[in-house]
Amino acid sequence: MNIESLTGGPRSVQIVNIVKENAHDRTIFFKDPDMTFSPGQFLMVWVSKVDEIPLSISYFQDGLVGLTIRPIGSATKAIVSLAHNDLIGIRGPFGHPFDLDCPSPLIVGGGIGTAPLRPVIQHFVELGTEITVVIGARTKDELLFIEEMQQLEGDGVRLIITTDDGSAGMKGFVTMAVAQVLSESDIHTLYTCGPEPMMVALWRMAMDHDIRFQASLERYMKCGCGLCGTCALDPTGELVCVDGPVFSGEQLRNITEFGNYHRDSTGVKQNF
Amino acid sequence: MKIEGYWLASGLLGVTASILRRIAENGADVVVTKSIGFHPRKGHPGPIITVSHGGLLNAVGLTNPGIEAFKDELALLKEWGIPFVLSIFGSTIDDIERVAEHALTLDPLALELNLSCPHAEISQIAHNPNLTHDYVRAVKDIVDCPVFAKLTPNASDIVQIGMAAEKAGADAVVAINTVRGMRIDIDQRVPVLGNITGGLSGPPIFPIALRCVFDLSRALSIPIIGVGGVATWQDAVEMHLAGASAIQIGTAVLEGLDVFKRIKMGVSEYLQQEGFSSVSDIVGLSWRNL
Repeated sequence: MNIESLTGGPRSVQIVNIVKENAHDRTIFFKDPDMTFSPGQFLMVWVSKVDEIPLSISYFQDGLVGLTIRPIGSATKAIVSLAHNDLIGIRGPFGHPFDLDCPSPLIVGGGIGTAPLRPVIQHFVELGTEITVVIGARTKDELLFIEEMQQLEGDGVRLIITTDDGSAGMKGFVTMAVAQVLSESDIHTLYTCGPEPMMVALWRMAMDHDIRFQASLERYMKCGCGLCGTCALDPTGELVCVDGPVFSGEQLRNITEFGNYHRDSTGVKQNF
Repeated sequence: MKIEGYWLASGLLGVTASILRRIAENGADVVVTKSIGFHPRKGHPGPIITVSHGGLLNAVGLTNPGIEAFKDELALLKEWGIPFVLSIFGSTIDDIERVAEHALTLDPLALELNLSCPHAEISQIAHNPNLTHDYVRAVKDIVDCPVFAKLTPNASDIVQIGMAAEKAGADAVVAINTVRGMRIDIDQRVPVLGNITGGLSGPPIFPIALRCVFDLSRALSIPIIGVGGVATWQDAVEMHLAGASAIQIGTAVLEGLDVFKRIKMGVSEYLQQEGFSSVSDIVGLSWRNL
């Protein structure tokens, strides 16, 4: 039994770059030349004297790794306040990645949930697959990777932006844009990450249209590697850290808590 | 209840009924829940785990939803017919009595008293024979199900503690809990665990657990439930030979939930090849052979 590798090989890395994505969100970059990664996987990230939290990998190229963070809790706030050359601890990558076998993908990101989808988009762009990307947020200031996506638009990427308040792109939820895409285009798989009520609505639309569905779920996580049980789903007992975070539409059909509740740090149920 | 077989140890995975059922379906004969207290408890900040010298260091800090919220999970286990032992803790005798009273309504196979979490304020109980005696006796006086006392190898004389538990009426002792330890990150030059210190588990603590089970088994007349670093069927056979009637498995679930089936099958083949008819034939055989 190799506990070192099963727990993600704890190590410290140095921040080499910080990119301001919008008014709130930052992407931190570090080098980890030996890391292997599949889109959808995440790291456990430790900020000394604060906490360790799971974060999706939003960029991965030639040993350079990026994590995109929205400052909400104590750990995420501490990470966005870090500077060049600061050290953070990492473990992983962990988790079951996206299944990228798809001829015509529709990729739908809501809010900070867009972060783990960027490597998915990158993957399809490199393959030359024509893709549709819908990126939504409550307001213009919370949209992620818009300029980067706009630059890809010529490379077979169709981009649709939505904001709840209409401050950029279409006014309304991503579901509205997705309904339109599904009525016009022949989509094979819908890839998504974002607020769970949004993913439930998209899952229903995917089921109605009989297309495949891949969603990255978020649950409170303490170990990341299948030990603590904090992220277990009802009623299957699947663990988001090792059996997910990416689940297929078929798997989600059996997960009764999907869209209904999650558990907080003590294990008490909280409704969405 | 019969104290036999291969059980999920407390502290891992056992936060919800769903995951405990999955573990039982994968071959665990009994599942022991995470330690439950009276109030919801967040536990320590992360990292709550790290590695050291082939072992796992953890400082979860008794994260649990409290007995009231956990009742729903236990009711499901009952409904599904999953054999479970409820692990409970309390920082005072009043506290543990209150949890035990609530727990009884859910009819667990047994209560396992966590008297020895090495990274929480309850850590001192199982260092002291008198405290151990008083906690075990207090719970025994109010429940009619078996009561197990989980002991710590960090005590200076685990046998004295085991004897105190037996005298207080414990139906078995569980040995051992994790071994106190810590890790320092040499790049950041700070302790890794959020709680600074934690408990070591996994293969490196197996010889410590084995020694404790061996000593306790010789000194006590109640059954010993062995736990600590068991990852293979060979480890399990050794643990039985030291005196363990049942064995709990913790850290080895990292490799996959099929660990229970693998160990069970290996032990059973060993018994057959060596001409024993059941596990009870080899429990404590190593010291009986001396």
